[in-house]
Amino acid sequence: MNPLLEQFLSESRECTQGISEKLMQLEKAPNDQDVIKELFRLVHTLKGNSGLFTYPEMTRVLHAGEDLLGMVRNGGLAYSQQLADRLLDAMDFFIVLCNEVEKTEKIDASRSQESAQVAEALRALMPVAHQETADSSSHQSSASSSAAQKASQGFPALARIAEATRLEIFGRYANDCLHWIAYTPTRECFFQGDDPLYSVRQTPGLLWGSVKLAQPLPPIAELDTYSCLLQFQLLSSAPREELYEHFRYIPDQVVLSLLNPQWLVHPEGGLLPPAAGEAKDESVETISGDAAEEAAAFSAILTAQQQILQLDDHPAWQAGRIKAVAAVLANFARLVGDTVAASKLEAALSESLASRESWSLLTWLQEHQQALMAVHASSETALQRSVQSPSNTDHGATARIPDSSSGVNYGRRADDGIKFGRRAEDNLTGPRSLKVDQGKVDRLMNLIGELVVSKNALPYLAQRAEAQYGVRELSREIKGQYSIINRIADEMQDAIMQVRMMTVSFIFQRFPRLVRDISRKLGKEVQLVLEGEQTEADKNIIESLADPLIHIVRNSLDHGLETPDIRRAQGKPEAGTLTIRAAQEADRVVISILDDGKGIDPEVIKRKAYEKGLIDEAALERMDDREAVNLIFAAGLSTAEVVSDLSGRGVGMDVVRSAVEKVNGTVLVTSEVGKGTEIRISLPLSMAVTQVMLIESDHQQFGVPMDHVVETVRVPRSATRAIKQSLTTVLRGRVVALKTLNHLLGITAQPRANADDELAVLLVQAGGGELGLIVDGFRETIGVIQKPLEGFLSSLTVYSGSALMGDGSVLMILNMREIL
Amino acid sequence: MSIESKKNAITLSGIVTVEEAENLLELLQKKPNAKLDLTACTHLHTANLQVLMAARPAIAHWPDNPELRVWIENAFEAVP
Repeated sequence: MNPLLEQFLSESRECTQGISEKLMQLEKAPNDQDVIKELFRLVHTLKGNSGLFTYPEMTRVLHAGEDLLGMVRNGGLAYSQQLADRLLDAMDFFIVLCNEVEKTEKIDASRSQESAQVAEALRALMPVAHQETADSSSHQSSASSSAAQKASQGFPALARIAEATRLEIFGRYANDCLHWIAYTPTRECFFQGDDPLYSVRQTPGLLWGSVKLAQPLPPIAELDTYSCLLQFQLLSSAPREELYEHFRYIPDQVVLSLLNPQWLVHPEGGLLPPAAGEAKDESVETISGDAAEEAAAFSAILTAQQQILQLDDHPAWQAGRIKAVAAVLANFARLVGDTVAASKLEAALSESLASRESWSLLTWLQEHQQALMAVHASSETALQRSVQSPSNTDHGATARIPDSSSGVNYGRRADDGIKFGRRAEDNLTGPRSLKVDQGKVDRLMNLIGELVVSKNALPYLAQRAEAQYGVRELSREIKGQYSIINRIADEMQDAIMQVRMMTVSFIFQRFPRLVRDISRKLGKEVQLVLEGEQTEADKNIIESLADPLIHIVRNSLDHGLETPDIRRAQGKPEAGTLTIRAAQEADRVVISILDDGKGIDPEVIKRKAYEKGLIDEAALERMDDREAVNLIFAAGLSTAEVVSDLSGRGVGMDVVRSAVEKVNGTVLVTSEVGKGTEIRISLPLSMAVTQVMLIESDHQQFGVPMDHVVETVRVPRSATRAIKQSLTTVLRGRVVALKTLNHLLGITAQPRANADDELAVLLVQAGGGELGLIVDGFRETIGVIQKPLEGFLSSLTVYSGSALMGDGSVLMILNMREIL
Repeated sequence: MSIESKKNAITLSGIVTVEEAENLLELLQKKPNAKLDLTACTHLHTANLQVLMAARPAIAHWPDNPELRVWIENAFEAVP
């Protein structure tokens, strides 16, 4: 994909996001001129950009949007819900087009009609004086529908074509599909760079064309050169798609009608008169000797295919046989140029293949055999005739266009001219920000991680220089150098973190639209408050947060907030408030979602959980309200009575929890019945560097993530009590269960106590409870870059990963959730 | 310049673009009896065609390009 297009697509996404945001703002303050201007500017930019590429479908929709907003800006039209809805629809359509372009670098011609509809929907909102195009096209479409109604009666407009021409066209295309094209250029089309005459001369498959006046021309003294008053009527043999493609820039000015070639003979309707039959016979008669031979060969081919299809056995290769016959027939149809029959053939083929019976192909052959032969014959004749008289021009009022492909190098010539006014290129200023592929940043970060690790080897080197080789001077110098490298490495790490940092607004920005759509659907009034949008966190963290947050917001809207009636009855303001707040707390980002809805009833949750078998009876009794409310994160629990398309299927909140825990985050809910609910998600600022506490057990070092460490205490061996098999101690009035790390890891050695016979106990938190882990000793806390275990080691779930220490040794990081 | 005017004759040649329509109109307004030579003309912008339709000048030579000739004849027929 060319870089310009790439940039256009990425900018378009930003722009549409901006447009949605501004529309939301307008919803709150419909008369804010600044917002309207900004909105107009965004759509205008987008339209201008889209004009750089040949995607008229995009430009058309954006142009309509721009016109509409221009009117709003000038006060010609007031902002309304309907306007916002249609603009949002248009933007959605635009994004669909962008996605299509991103995938295939082109827009399917079939989108053209859709885009005209979207544009028309936008224009329909404008006051009458400004909807000329919409008016004329709706008029035209009603005309075309009335034409369709009159299908059985004929097509009177064809009477404009001289009879001789009509019959000749009929002779050639009797079994084909023809199109009648009514093209009404807009009056301002010259200003848009259109040359209607050029367009019609280039129409594919043009058989006949004529010029009409939309209204009488004024006297020459008063003529406005740049106002187009002409209309065109064309007859084409090209397939519909090709015509759509040709007129894709102006679908609203063109009306295509399918034409039954028989109407050519009898424009006013009625059955095929004998005279036309004769004309056809005549043309068959003119087939020369060679052509007659060929016709016999063709007939033989068709008969052979028929015989094959009539074979009654069903061999294993039946499917292959059907395909082979279909291929022959398809080639045949293509040779004689019968596209309609060919398309029907495809359907017959798939039917035959599906049923493994040849009858549908056979039916097709019987239906089309005559037609195929006739078409072949008539195309032969027409070819000969056109050779004889290439430019047959005296057809009276209207005339046949002999060949539309005569070399008019109009387009090329227009490009050859020298272009002036390129002053903008002279003072090119570089953009202030760079768009960098994430892979490059990741690589940089990995490299810095390695640098941090290898720099940590320097102190060991200094130690060895002193202890092993006894050169204290060198040792000191190494240490001096180390401190410098250390400082730079730290700064580099910090800098790269900054690069990866994103503001939470990245995910917050989609909420206004989401909340608006959902609340509209549920018939609730919701006021969304976003706070702390500038809070930053690592890109991975932010991205991992997007889906959980959407789940939570949906849940809050669906289950949390009440409908306006209920709220009024309870003395609350009709509009509920949903607050999404982000803040940084130490090295973590905390995001809370608060609603002032009905809250969560712990009793209901407990009962549901018990009914679903998620907790046992003892737990039911023991559980306090806070714990009960957090049961909503358990898998398979849904409190909604009715399953809606928004939520209530019992998946969701457990997905939220697992997504948050994947990035070492925690999620907690607090709720008060009748007052509201708060869900707090706490996430690390960055995943790159993990703070771990080093502990020692049986002369080995292990790392414990600081997230799990509550405190470190020394407990005298005498203060521990054994209750049955488990060891416990009392810590500040609380009973804490103790486990030895050696035992958990399957190491047979007993834990070692210090000189005062005190055991080192690391109080950790995991899986909702606290536990004392007896180890041999504590070491310092360090920041490490944790690498996941790969290959065979990945099945060792007791370790969450490994990290390389400065002295080159490998540190295993314990996975607290697994180990306990 | 694809429009040339000599005495009472106006010659159009090659491709006559939209920018020239104004010029053509002026010429035809000034010289209503001018005769047109379209021999070497291969394409007319629609705006020019419209000017010709409004002025209906006498054609001394039709275009050599048969297709264009058909269109112009056809267009003249449409003017009552």
